[in-house]
Amino acid sequence: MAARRARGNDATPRPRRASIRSSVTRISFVDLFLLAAQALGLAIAAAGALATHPSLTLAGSVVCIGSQVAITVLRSATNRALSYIGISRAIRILLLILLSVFLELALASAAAADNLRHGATVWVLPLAAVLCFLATFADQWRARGYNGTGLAWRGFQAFGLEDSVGAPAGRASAIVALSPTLVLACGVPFVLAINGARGDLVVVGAVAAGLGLVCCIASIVLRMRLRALGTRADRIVRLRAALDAYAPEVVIFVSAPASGTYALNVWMQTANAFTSRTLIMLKEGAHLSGLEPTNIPIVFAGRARDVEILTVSSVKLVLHPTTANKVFEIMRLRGLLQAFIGHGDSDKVSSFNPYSRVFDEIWVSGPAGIDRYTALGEGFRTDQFVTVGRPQLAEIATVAADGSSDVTLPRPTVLYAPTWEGFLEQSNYSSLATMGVAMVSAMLAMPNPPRILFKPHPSSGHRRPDMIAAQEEIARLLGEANSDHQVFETGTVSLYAAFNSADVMITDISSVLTDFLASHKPYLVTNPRNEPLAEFLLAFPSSAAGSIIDSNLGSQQGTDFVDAIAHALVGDPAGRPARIALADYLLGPVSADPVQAFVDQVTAAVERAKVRYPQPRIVPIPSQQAGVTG
Amino acid sequence: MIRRILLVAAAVTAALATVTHWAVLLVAVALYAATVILTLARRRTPRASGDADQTGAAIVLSVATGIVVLHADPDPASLWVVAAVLALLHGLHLLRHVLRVLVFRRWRSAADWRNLVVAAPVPKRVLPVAGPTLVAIPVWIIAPILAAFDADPIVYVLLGVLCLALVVATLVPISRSLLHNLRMPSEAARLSALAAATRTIQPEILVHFNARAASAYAINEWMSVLERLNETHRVVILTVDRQPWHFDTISSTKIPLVHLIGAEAIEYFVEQVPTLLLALYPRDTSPNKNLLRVPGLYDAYIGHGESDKAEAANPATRAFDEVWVAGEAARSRYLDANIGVREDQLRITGRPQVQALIELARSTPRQERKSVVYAPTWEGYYADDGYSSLELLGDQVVDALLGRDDVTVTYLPHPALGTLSGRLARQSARIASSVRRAGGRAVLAGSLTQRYEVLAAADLLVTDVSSDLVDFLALGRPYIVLDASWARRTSSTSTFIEANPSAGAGTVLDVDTVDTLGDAATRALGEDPDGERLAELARRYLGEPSTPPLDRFLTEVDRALALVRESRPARTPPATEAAR
Repeated sequence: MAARRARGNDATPRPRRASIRSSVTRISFVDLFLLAAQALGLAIAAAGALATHPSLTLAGSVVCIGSQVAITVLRSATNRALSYIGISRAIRILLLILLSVFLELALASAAAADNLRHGATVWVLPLAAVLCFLATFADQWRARGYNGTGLAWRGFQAFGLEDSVGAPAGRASAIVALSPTLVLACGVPFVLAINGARGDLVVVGAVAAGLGLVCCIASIVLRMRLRALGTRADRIVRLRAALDAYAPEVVIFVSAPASGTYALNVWMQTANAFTSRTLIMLKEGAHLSGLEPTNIPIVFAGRARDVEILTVSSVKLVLHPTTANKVFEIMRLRGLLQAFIGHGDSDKVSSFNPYSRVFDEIWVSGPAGIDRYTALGEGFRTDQFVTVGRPQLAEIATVAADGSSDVTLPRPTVLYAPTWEGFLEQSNYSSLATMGVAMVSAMLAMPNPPRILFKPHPSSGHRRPDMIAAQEEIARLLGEANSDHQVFETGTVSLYAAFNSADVMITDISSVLTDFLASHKPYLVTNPRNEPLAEFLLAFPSSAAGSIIDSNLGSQQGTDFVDAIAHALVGDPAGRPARIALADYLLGPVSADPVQAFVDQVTAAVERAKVRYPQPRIVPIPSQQAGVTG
Repeated sequence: MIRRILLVAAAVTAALATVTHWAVLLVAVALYAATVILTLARRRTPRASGDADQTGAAIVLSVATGIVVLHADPDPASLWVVAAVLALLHGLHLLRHVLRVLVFRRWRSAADWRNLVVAAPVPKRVLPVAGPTLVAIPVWIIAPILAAFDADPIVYVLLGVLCLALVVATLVPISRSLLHNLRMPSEAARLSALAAATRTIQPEILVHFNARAASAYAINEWMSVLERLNETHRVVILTVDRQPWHFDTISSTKIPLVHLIGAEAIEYFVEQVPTLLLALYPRDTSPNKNLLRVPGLYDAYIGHGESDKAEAANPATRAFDEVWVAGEAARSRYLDANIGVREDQLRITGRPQVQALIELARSTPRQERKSVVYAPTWEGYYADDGYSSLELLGDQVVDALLGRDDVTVTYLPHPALGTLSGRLARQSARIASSVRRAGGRAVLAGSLTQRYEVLAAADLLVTDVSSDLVDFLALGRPYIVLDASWARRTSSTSTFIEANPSAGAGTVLDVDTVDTLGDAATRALGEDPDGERLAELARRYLGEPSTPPLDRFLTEVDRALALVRESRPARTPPATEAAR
């Protein structure tokens, strides 16, 4: 029950499983434009054909082909969406072919048309159709032989390996599939011209022939580029050589849905400071595009055997920010110390399950993490845990006992940072709609009102419109107060920068609260459902060192909201030891440089790994994998 | 590859068919037959058959469009008719596609079950009939259209009648399945009904199974044990990961089978059936995680056969509460490998299956003519799991054995051999047919009982590092082990035996010494085997022969259940059914 309730602690919306349906509905404005261009092009071409206007058909075809090329180059979702409803690229191209034939038939003299259908030229159409399909399949075969998918890398220039480039297969197939269209478009008019058809048909044919030639040349160039990239087996051999030369000691292994790149990104700044040679190994190529800047070499190893072959024998330590099923692929390898580091907040429910006992070590921020795992009673052992603090919180300025901080503020400041309403009403811990306006008004009505900073959660109003109304009302109140109050719009100020510009925070049950503890500053926690104090504190330990405010702005602790704010604004020195103890328990002990402390932990873990698994792993050589084909 | 060549060939022929009208009929029939055959051949891999279906439909539609255009007259009135016909053709294609998506998605994404009385319907499965039928829909469409266009319509009328008959014969049952699937209650409601039904039988043991169809042997070899277990503790077998075909591949049983897709459904199911205490895993694969991560169950890995393969002791095994192994050999293999598996995780439970082999061997009369069995293992999913001798030594071994006229040769490949490598599959089929031609026997994809029948009659086993080798130890008969493993280049015979102690009482041959197979076989068949050494190895690998292994396994289950009851708080189903 506690675990279920604690899910409300999770401030960020949980990433949802990507499905085909969601990829179809995620069509952007550009995609819609391209879709319209496709339809419009086809419609114009059809109108031209029916009205026997060659120029119209030509224009329609150009629009259609142009948008098709754009769809492929931009990797637009349109292609997938159209294929999903059965109008695949091949069929759209085929429609164009037919329209041009249609037009030519319409324009041709009766004798020529008759000749086309029953004379010697009867072969032209079937031949072109066959060419069209052969070209499409040939292109697919070629792409299959290249098989570059599921393998990519970055940052091996120092070892003589340029970054991998994506296969131009998509573009190539678009163009290759077009060339038969053009062969047909120029072939039929050519035959018609021989048979004495109208002159303008010959012009259309000539234009089409020119285009066809250009496309064919482009296709040949692309093929040559593709050949230069080598086969997948070649590429693995080269990559393995570079990895052997680099000899990484630490691997950060990431497997997550495309929306889960943040699990790695929260560690990136810390990882950039690692002194051990490190490699990032991704199980999904989607993460490549959303990574924070880094100098660490990156490998995208799509297949299970890639993981086996690219985890070279120098690797001693594997750090896991996630526990997806594919963790198995590196977990099965011998001689590696496997450590689960979570994604920044190792105390989260989502990453907190019995499977984690598979790791040699579980790195938690503070002792609270250990307690939560062992309380689960699922076979976790105390010797599995290492407390490492939270290097991500290095940015948060800590306030000293005398009230001084790295960041000095012009005047007493309160930050109000409510959470959002959650996916389900039962996990709605937000105070915004129920208490937000009242609290802000109460502060503005204080004899000596503090400066107020308001930072709503970016997902607020996702489910409940009254959240947006409250948000607007607070912004209006702050604006009318004619002071230096501020509303932080989404994306303008980072959460930690907002922490640093305040003396006191008012927030809801969320991970924001836990992070704020690092500042040692006083805080108020809302209890919008007026749960009994004892139960509330038990369910949400992070609120223990703050003032708990009920929905009527009173408190079961005795001091009401305004008193609590006034008290907090003078630093609440009496509560300071409790806040520090709670921060140490939840986030680990404070160190002068949390990032350096973590880096030292990594170095120490590499040494531990050498002691625990002294025998280097025997890594299969890449050529041996050639024996098995998908 | 073959599929694509076939389909392109069909397209070429169809294009040529526009010249003579009768050819259209032939091509349509040929195309239909080809797609039916291909789809049936790939019945076990729905994705591939779906591919054939899509490609086939695209080609047929395109050719149909071409034919319609060719039959058009250039006068404006006729052009409008052609435009209308084309619109109809493509509209129907669209309809076909939507139908297909509806039919397949609906049943493939649904929770499914067998041997359970649930207050909700099970989805009707439409493969493999639906695939080829749906492919052919465009063909059925063209024929009547063409009949309307041509001056010589009799051939098209014939085609139309033929196709309409097919439509009626196959589309009607599909529409019924489709309607049935569409009318099914929501996924959440069905899952909740399934959980309620499972709750009433109060199962204690959940067996998690995930495998390709060819690897169903891994659970089938446990079925007799599970049936016995089901008499005292109720058992539920859970298959996952879009593998509904396991309802067919798992041998017929009274044990309830449940098929769930996705971690959320699995978590919900376990939460809702609080009597479940123990989870057994016959395979060590990544999807196990979806059940391992659910709190409240005690997880035991039971494996599927005992061997010295490196994969049989891998660090991912740490995820289980306990690892049940057959004998002392496996225990020390795990501990010596230094992979973090702890002594307290390992339990020796014997190998209950091997009892059947011993009994079979007792009842099988030995033939005058000696029997030699060549049993190569499979190629392995990972590079370091590659122990199969087939590619490197297979032809030489079989040639040497078939060259002798004093022995009967049986070829007994691993059931999964060739599932990942088409090349190995072809080589295996070739060897099987050459053995059969020479009067021997080949047992392909045999069940454990069939395999045991072969082993029980064998006087000499030629095999790789595998569980066949270890099972065969129970019979105390001579064997030859082929060293073709991935680490072969770095090992000698002595290091090979050190790494694979099960080979210790036999002859080891590798790529350099395989030409002495004939002599080694003569020696092994002529001499009395070192019975004491074999018995010692068998004891180490398969457990003490004194206790009946099945009883031992059942006792172990009881111990684990008692442990869970004692050490973990009792589970109650969450009060809110609408947790999803």
